[in-house]
Amino acid sequence: MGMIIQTKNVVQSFPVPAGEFIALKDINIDVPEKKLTILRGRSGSGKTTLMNILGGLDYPKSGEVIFENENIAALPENRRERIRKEKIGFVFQSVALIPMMNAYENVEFALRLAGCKGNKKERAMKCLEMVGLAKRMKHMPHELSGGEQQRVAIARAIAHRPEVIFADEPTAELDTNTGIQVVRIFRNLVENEGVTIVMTTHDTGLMEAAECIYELEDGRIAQKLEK
Amino acid sequence: MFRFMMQKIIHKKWMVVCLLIGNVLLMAIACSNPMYKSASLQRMLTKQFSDYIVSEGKYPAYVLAESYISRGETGADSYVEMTGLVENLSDTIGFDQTDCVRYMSTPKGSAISVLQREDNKRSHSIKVAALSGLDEHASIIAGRMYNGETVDGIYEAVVSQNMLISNNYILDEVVEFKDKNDASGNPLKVKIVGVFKNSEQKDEYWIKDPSMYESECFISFDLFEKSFVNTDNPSLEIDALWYLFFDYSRIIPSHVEDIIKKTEEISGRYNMRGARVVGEQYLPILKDFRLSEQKSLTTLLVLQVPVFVLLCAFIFMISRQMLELEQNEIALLKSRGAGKKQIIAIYLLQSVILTGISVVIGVPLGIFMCTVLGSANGFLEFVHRSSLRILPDVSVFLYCLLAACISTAVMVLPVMLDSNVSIVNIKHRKNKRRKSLWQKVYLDVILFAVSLYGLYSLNERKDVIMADMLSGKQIDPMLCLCASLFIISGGLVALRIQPLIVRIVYAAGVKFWRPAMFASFLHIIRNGVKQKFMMVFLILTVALGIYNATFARTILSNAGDSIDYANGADVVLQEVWEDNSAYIEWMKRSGNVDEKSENSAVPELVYIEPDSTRFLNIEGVESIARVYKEQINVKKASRDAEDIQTELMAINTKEFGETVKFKESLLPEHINTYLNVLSTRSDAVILSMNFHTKQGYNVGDSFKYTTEDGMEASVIVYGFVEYWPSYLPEVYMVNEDGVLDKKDNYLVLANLASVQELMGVRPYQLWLKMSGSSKAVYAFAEESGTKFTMFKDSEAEKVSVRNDTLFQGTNGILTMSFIVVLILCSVGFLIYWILSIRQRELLFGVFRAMGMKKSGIIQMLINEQIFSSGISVAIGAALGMAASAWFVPIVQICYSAAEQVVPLVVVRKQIDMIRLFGVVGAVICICMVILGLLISKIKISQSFKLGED
Repeated sequence: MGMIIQTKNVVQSFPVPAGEFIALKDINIDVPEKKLTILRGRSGSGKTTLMNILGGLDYPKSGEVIFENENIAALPENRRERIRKEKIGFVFQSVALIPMMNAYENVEFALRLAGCKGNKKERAMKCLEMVGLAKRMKHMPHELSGGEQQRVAIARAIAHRPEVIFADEPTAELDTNTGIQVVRIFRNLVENEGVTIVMTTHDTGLMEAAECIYELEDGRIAQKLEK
Repeated sequence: MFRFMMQKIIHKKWMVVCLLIGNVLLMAIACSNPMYKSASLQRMLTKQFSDYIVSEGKYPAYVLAESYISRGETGADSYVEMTGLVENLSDTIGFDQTDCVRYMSTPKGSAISVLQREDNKRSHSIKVAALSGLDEHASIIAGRMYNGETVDGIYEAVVSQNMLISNNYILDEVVEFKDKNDASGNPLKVKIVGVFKNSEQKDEYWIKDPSMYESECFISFDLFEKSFVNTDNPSLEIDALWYLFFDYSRIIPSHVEDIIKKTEEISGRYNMRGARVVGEQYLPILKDFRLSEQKSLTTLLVLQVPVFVLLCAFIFMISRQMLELEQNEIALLKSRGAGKKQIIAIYLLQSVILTGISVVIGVPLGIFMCTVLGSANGFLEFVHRSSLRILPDVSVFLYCLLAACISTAVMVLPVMLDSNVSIVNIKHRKNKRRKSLWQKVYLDVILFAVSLYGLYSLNERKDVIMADMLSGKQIDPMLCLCASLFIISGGLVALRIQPLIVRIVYAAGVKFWRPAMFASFLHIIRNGVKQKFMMVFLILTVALGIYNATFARTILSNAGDSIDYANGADVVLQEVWEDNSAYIEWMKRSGNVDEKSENSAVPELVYIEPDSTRFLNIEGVESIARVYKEQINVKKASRDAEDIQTELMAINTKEFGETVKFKESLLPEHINTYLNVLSTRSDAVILSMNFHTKQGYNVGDSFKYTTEDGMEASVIVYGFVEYWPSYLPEVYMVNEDGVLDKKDNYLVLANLASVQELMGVRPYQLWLKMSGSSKAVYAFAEESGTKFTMFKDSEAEKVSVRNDTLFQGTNGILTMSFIVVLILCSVGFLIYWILSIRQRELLFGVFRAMGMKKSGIIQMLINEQIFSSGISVAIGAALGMAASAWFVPIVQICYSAAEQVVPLVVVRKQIDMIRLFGVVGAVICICMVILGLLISKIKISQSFKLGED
């Protein structure tokens, strides 16, 4: 099994009034390719922080993040931007659709940003179909329910055929059923599209969907479970 | 509740600062209005009095009361009544009395000198009089001052020089009245012991110059009173006058109305001989003031309206923006059981505190503004000038209170509108695009149409407006409001068009827009409502800036042009010429000339021409021109058309061309071309255009004209001019029906040499071209004792126009409102963009996470700037230019009317535009830099956290 991302001794800290707050300590994890990996932990355990580092949104204090044989922790911002643009998709807890664009445009915009050649319209519709929202593509974000919004966000994240999708608590604001639905879409993507997905959650009910689970506690990896 | 509010304020400190700025400006403007008004009116009133003194040479600020005691009457009722009235008269009318001068006299009686001198045997008609305070205001030029007592029953008196000479008396002569007895029944005897004159040249005490007391023998006032008034046996009739002087500089403008009324009432009640109160000397000035007061007040108030409206709109919008950010808190409060009333109370408290602070800061700022207003010299121009006397009075507090109420209401209004909203609605509403009320009912379009109609009807009624102005009627407020309405409603209408422009540009390039542009276009199109607020302010700032600058420049430069045109040169004067008219008069009177007989002719009137070249030696005089003007009668030879009374202007073309001040654009060709034509032949004339258009004269025609004293000349027409220095083509007058009457005015322009050959040298005007200040001319006149029958100084006239309350106030208010709008615009611009970026931090984070570069985000913002700020500036500029081109010509009628001869030129100075766009540009740039800093600080990973809230 190939590893798409590996971290070596990643440390992250933030300045707080009382000094430094160590958010992550010596994180060494491997993310298997074309599998669903879950980062689990209570809130404040450092899940999101770790994910931001894995996705190249944030620089770690120290340590390496090897993404496809490249240490992205040492790359300049513009290189990371390109990697994000071409190879990574994000799904956020707070949905974060672009409010002034409708569902279709949100997806299509991601394609534009990625500089995607070819038929953008077709691809965007395909992605919306994948998440089962083809019929609601002309709706504005505020006209969609929370689950639907999250599905649009997923469609947007996969539109430019990224290799990895990072999903930060994608189910946190959804009810259990909708949450399961979202995870089902993720599974579908992993199995049919060959995408690697890393998602954080504190919901223990979703664990069985993942091939690999890392449990975080106070900024450390407390446990690693593999199927 | 209080703590909640304070927390709220601290949390939203920048919004609160904005609100405070808006409020402080509102207070300052509101309270500066009455202060400036009263201060500048005070100055105007004082100026009108002092101008009167200068031009009329009389002191007008006194009330004259008169009474009469008949012979043998003790304690005459009317006299006692008048004495009582006079005591309180200044209080009754409302004056600050400075002095009371009393004059009493007996009627004239015939008196003979006791000396019975050979050369002065006949009796003279003279009287005994007394003037209170004479010893302080008179100095003795011969003899001595009177004694306060009688000596052997003889009263000592002083007289004026005129009295002594015209009655041929000598010092120490005793005069005995034949028909007047003193208290003891003996004939009244007066001894002339001295001759007096006024001790100071300018002394308001001498309402009548000493030389005018030609028959009075002044005895001591106390003695007069003791002997003839307060006596058991008044043997004489007495006329008593009171001159009650008041300090005109202390009349409060708002009391003028009252003073006029009281004066008229009292002088109406006491208007017969023996009981009279006269206010005629100052009433015309006060009435005149009342007229110009109304004119200035209306104009100044109307000029301020746009700023008031803008300020209120600003406060309203910021409050609404703030409320939008606070809706979660309000919903939270509601969910905890707070009622609508409580929420309104919280905001009311907040507003009251804010207005309270604003009053504290705003009133001193208002006072400062007044001084700035008072020193306005042009648009965005200030000079150091004797500052206004600023007295905050009750009305200041009333205005402040009113403004405070308005601003509180405006701040609470959004809460009232929103307080019914629950937390459920908020989420729904958040993303919805709402149309403003004004958009729904097409208020902007309606107002825009109204303003255009106003423009049309004002243009139609131009003549009526001019007639109203000439007859001193109040200005139609519509006149000034129309332009403001046009700009404001035009701005709103333009906001409807802006999205169309954006859509067109977006649609045109939808295929190849880069992602950042794509996103920003969508943002403008779909989220533009929020930007409208900002755009309105930008549009108004630019439009008002251009309009105000043009307006201010135009009225001043037109006033200046009119002065230059009407005078013709920097200085125009006419010296007093000596002539032999006295000799002719004497010849006629003495009978040496028999007008009917041929052989003994009346000597010709000959003038002695002063040497005009001495003016060339004055420092600063560049050239001089002799201009002779005379009324002539033009007869058309060919037809028996009516005679035309016209003015002949005779010039020496070379001098004239060098000296004259004339706007080239007024004539199709340079003035020198016409002068050259005129100089080709000595009998060539150039006529005013109306000779051609109204009377059918053509080039090459010859005609004859006659002067008033019957001399005749034949001339040939060489050309026509529509305008000529100092020539008014039309004279405007208001006839009895209040309708404006235009009368054609003609001009015949001839060569000076040929006219002088015909009529001889007669007093001509001298036109002077100055290279700098005209001070040297005044100095020259003083030194050499040169006297003028006419003296016009264009520069001085312009200065007095600049200092005119109306002009000055207009400039001040235009400048002030522009500065206020600019402040509002900067503050609003900054707050809008900061908020907009804060609100969009999450969005920017998303863009960044999706791989958009920082430069992409900046590109987005720049694009937004171009299509919101850029378009706004362009719209504002267009509106401003349109408003100045269309409205300034009408509005400026209020400022010139009668004097406006030269066609109006709407003046736009580049420097103003550079300043305006410089300031607006700087504001936008500063905002962009701040925004850039804000954006570069955004950390993508953190923006999600923020977004979660």
